[in-house]
Amino acid sequence: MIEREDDFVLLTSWREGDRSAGGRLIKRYSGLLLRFFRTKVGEDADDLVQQTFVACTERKDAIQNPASFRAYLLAIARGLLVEHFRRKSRHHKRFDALETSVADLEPTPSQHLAKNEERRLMGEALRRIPLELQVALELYYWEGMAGPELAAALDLPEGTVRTRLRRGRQLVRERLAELGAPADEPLGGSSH
Amino acid sequence: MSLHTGTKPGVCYGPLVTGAGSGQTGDSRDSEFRAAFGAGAPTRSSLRLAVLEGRLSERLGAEPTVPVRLGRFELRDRIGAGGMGAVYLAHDPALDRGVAIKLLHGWTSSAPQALIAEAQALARLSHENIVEVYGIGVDDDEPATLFVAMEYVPGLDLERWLQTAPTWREVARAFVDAGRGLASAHASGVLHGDFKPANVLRRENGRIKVIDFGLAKIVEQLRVSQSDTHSGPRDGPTGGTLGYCAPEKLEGGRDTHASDQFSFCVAAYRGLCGRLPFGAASRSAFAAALARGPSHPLPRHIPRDVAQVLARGMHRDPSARWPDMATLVRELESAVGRRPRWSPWLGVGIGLVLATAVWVAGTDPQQSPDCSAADSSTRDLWHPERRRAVQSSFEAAPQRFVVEAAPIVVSTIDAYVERLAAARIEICETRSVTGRTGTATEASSVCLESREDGLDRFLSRIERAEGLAASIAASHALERVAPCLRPDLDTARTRFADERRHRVDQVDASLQALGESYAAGTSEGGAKRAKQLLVASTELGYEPGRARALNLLGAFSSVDGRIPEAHGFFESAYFAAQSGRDDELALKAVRNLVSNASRRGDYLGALYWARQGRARIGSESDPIEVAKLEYAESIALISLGRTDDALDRLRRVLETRSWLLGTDHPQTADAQFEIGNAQLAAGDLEAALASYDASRSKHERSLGAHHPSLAFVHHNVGNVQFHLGSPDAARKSWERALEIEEGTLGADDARLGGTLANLATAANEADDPERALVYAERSQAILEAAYGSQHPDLIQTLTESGKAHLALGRTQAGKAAFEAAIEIGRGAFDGQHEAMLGPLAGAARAAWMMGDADATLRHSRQLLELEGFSSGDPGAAADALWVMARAQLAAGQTREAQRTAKRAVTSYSAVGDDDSVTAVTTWLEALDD
Repeated sequence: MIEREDDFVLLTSWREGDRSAGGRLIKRYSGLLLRFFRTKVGEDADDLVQQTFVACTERKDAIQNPASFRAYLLAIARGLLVEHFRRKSRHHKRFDALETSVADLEPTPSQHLAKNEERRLMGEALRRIPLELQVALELYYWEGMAGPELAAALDLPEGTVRTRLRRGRQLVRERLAELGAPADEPLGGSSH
Repeated sequence: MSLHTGTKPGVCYGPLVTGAGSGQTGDSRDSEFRAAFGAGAPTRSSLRLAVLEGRLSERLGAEPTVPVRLGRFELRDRIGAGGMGAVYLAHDPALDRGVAIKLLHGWTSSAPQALIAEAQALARLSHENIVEVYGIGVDDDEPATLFVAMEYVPGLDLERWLQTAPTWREVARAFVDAGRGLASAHASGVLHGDFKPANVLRRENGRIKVIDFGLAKIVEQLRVSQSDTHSGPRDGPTGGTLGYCAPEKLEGGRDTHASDQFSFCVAAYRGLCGRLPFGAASRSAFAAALARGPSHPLPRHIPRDVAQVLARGMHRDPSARWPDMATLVRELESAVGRRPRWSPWLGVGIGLVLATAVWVAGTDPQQSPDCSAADSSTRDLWHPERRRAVQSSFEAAPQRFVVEAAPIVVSTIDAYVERLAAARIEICETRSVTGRTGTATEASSVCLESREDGLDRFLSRIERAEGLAASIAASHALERVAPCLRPDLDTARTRFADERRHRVDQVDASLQALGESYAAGTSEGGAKRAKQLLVASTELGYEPGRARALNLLGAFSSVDGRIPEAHGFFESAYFAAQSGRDDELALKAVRNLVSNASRRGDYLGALYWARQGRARIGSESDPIEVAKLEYAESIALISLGRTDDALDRLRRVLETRSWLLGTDHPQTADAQFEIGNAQLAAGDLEAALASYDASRSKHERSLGAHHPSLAFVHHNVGNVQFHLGSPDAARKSWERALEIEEGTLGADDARLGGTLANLATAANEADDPERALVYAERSQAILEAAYGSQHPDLIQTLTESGKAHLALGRTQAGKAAFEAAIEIGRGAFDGQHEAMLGPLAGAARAAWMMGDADATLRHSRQLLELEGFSSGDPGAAADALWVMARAQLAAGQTREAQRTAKRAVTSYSAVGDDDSVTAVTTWLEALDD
């Protein structure tokens, strides 16, 4: 993703009423947010994307030393995601994003037509690891975020981020094995 | 109908994965992982993204984008996604209507013409229970998409509607309608191929529309031609969904009328019983289950005929099913109608019917005793004569609102009895199917028995015409049945040895009865009784009993107005519940503490108790009790001005109550009402009005239009309307409040005084002084009779009287009224209160009209010295200043007059009263000359 420093400037303009600034931000970041939410909340993704933008424009915070606009946006998105699941948890079970996976929260998987089995399996495996780990892995591999930027998006120290990635990978491998990934698949079922 | 897209959807953003910092991880297999991971990235549907961007731009006030077009349709919003593709809401500019567009991916334009023709046959179907297809088109641009434009049906699909727990009759009716649609399509030669609840839509008004006819087959042809692998275990090889798919199709057969029938019956079965009859785990499991029979019999309160009709439609052998859908629908309809006639169709093939009847009767005939009579204890309580007697009791009451509530109460009890009966049967079946007896099912039985006893006492009171008015709301508050069915039901009593258990039961029963009579408002001597039960519980060492007794004592004290004493009782109840380890009772006690603190004005204390309560909430907590706690907390929050937090909680409360109690329930109505209060407190008048309106209709439907609770709603609606500048509408709302109050309190009750004062205010505001006087004089008469002539409540009344007199030119009378009001104010709060604004301003005006400059000045000065003078009502402040200016001039204080007049001009401009600005300015200019 090509980094654009003027995105924060655009945001400020949008907050002050500049409609074209808003349009540009929407065009630049809707895809990112949609990808982020879609694998976790299925149909509600569109609404959550909207909420993220709304939250962005309603905040009056002076942005404190952000790593990137992308990280800033994703940090907000993460917060909304957690809140979304908290609300859905009907019986007030304590929702802890680190312990709960999307598969726990959304028992019926959303109907994405996976084009091939590999993609489908990976998607399934991701849904079965704790949410925070899923988020970390996706941002790292699909959005190419790393280092201080990723740490900012996850609101964690960099060392913790590395641990999360490691643990996430391990769990994904285990899930893939459980889901019966074919034997000649690069990850295999053998212990790491 | 092959058309181009208008604008190209947006581009994809950024490359997939570039090797970003692989050195970070130090994991040697990271590159393999990365490769595998990359494969899992979700497809970037550019169309979806483009539509989303359009919607966001529109809603977030960003620069609007050109709408995405598909053919001539403008896509507006994505409204769903099914197994075959996404559904969008679109606009058809040619006919200016909304349509739903379903996209089917992976279509190539080289699809056989025959398929397109077949698809177009769907467009010719026309039946009220089939979604109308307007057209089918292919979008040639890449990636090619087949889209179906159809009637937009706002509502839920049956899958989601069933989750709202409709009654079995509503479900049956819905399926009968869907069946009619199917039958009509069959008659036109079109098969569905994938019938299931997700393919049936239901509008708010109950209208049923079946969707996706034949599309399953088309899509399947698509897949075959594309050699795509299948997605997921749910799909059968020839379209259709596992679980609903007829067995002959699973084995490679084609769609037939009979296979549609099978799917229909499975879906109907699922709708009535909550479970798929043969599961859907895998094809082999399905086949095995098909041989065994449905996994779970239909609930007992559904007529057996219905089960038999469906059973035949689900027969493994297609030729054994009904001859066609039309016949099936007819049979189903009459079975639902409970006509016990012997159908010739049921007679034919009796061997088949008997075979299926084995399934229907239960899992194993030897093992299950007949549970069909398990609900007799409940049914006997509510036999037809008793029902009539209850109805007559209400209809014979003197109060209009009680008479009106008769049908509502009877149907509420009907529903309650159904729930009890169903619970009885379920307990019986659990026992027989699992062979499980023991403390759990025994506790459930005891629980249900106590519910039945409670219902019996309730009905007896009604038959004796005791406390009829209170029983309207109480009918909605009968002890809920659902908690009796919880598998973990374990009452404290089971910890006691047998001989004490009996005495504990007695105490519990007495507490229950006492609680009911409290709710019915027929509890003289109740506090004494509660004390006795407290002593008894203490002697038994039965903490939950102590907690309940203390709660009741608190309630009785509250009713008598002894609020601090009540607090003490509730607090003790809370601690007793804690030592009895009864979280439910603790939650109740905490909720009472919250309400009690609010009544004492200790809002921070209320929040403190709410926090304590929240700490006790666990996953087993009764959501209704939790909702009551949040409700009580919100009231305190509103008083503290924390309206956002209050709204947050109230919305949760509303959702919970709507879900569990229904939308037409007094508690749900109250939640809606309180939301209005919060919005009003936050200054959002329009929203408050909408909320009050919604609560009004809920209150009316659950309690009847003239029930006393409605008076509050009309009051508040009037308040909002008044502040929104519609005094006439406000007057009408307050009239309705008055009507209800007159009906329930009597025409001379002191509480009418305030309503009448408001009505006078509205009438004056609407420039109708004659009417205002009528209201004001009646208000005055009532208040003076009840409280004497010096009560502060009279201030508003007298002020409005004064205004009306002045408007009618009767200055003396006006002056007298204002001065009387001022007198009262001086006596009551030493003259310093915003209530003095009206009378002082009025007195000044009256004096001015009588040419008494000194009196005018005197009153005006006092007015200006009032705190909050200008901020309270800037328009009135401006008027007062204007009067004062002229009085000052008359008294020879020219410079002061000019200064005051200038202040008046400022105030008038602030409220936008240009005419007055002009008048005063002209006057000022004349002075300068």
